[in-house]
Amino acid sequence: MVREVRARFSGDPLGYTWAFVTPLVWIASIAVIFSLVGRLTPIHTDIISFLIAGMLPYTIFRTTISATMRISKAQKNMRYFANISANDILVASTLMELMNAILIYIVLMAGNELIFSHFEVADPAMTMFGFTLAWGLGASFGHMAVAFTQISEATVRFVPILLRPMFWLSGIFFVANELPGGLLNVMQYNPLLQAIEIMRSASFLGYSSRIADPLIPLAWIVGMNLTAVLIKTLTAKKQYNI
Amino acid sequence: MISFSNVSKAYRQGTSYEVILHNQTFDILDGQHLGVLTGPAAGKTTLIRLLAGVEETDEGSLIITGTTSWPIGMAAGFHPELTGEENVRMLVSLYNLVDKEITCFCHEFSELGESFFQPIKTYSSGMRAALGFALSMSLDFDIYIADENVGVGNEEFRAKCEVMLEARIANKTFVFASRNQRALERLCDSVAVLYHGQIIMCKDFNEAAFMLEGGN
Repeated sequence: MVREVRARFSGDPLGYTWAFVTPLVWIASIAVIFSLVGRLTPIHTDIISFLIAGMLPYTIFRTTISATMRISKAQKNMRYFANISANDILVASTLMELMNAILIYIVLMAGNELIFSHFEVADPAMTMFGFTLAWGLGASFGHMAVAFTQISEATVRFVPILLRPMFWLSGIFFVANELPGGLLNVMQYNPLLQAIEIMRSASFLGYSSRIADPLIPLAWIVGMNLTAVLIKTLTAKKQYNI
Repeated sequence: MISFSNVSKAYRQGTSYEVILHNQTFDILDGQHLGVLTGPAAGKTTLIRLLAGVEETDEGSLIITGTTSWPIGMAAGFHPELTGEENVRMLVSLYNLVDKEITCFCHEFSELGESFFQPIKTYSSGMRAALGFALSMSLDFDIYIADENVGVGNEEFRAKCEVMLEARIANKTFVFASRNQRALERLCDSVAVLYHGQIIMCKDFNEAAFMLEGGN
């Protein structure tokens, strides 16, 4: 994990600062778009806090998936050293993403307080729980995707296509309570929307989600990891069935 | 000791299977220097990966008693963004060893000079190989394994590598898979052929070469 942290942002004058640039640019861009189109936050809080609570869980979800898929290839030769297993590498990369994302969250929240005097985290424990659920979903999806690459390398190309709609469907720009009933009944099974709703309900006193239910993302996490284990088990011993 | 018991290993190649090992049982004794002579694409890298613990057997069991090195001279574990020194320190730390002496050894043996403190991505393949070899020689293992190349660089540096390797593997187990009969003869005291999924122990290198050429 230390190796990846030191290596990822080395060779660049901005170094680790890059980790903050992407979410900052996203949040700033969307805040500008919101103000240009005259959209108000759907709940009673400031725009930056609203976007942090939507954008950061989405960011950690995507970066954790990318990290697990990238590192399983990039660090495969590490398995020659000191009995490091493929699972060790996956766990290290996902934990690094979690630590990274928590640090970014703290810095962005502190920045919002210092610059705009806005800070709202009503229930820190549940806020972190929602955040961790988003990370867990990314780690589990990444685990499953890495397992699928053992069946077909096309998985690497397919995953970004599959995940693209998540940006629009996971409540980054809206809250579940705004959705009409029929759509909400379907959307409640989106685990990332659930994680974001849990985080927003816990962060903002003025918001109580109609659908927030941790069982849905937890079920997805368990399901995706079980699928990954099943695929790995089936592919591990299949080669010699001649 | 290394003990193969009814070990089978195969790879899928499109719709067919490439058999690397078929129900093989044999032992490699402590202190034995076994050369495995192979033809092209016979599975020597897979054999070495099995010994390194990177691959699992499809059937049977492989029991290794003692610590095993990574393939000698392997440079693929280096992170390109880190310097030679940082890579050495990072990899040595995985074995909970004090890095100062090892770092000095690698710096000196690899003859990289100031480049040792530059990112690996700036190295030529020869420089990477030299550092890889130096790192392989800096740690003490019970079993050393090698896949094809055990020396790097120009003739003088290769000779230096071979002297160092001979000293390092003295009284240790050494498994060297190669297509190069002469290299095996220099470093090994016994020889086997990996041929059509079988490890066939031979009484000398000439017999191994003859067998591999299809003489049986």
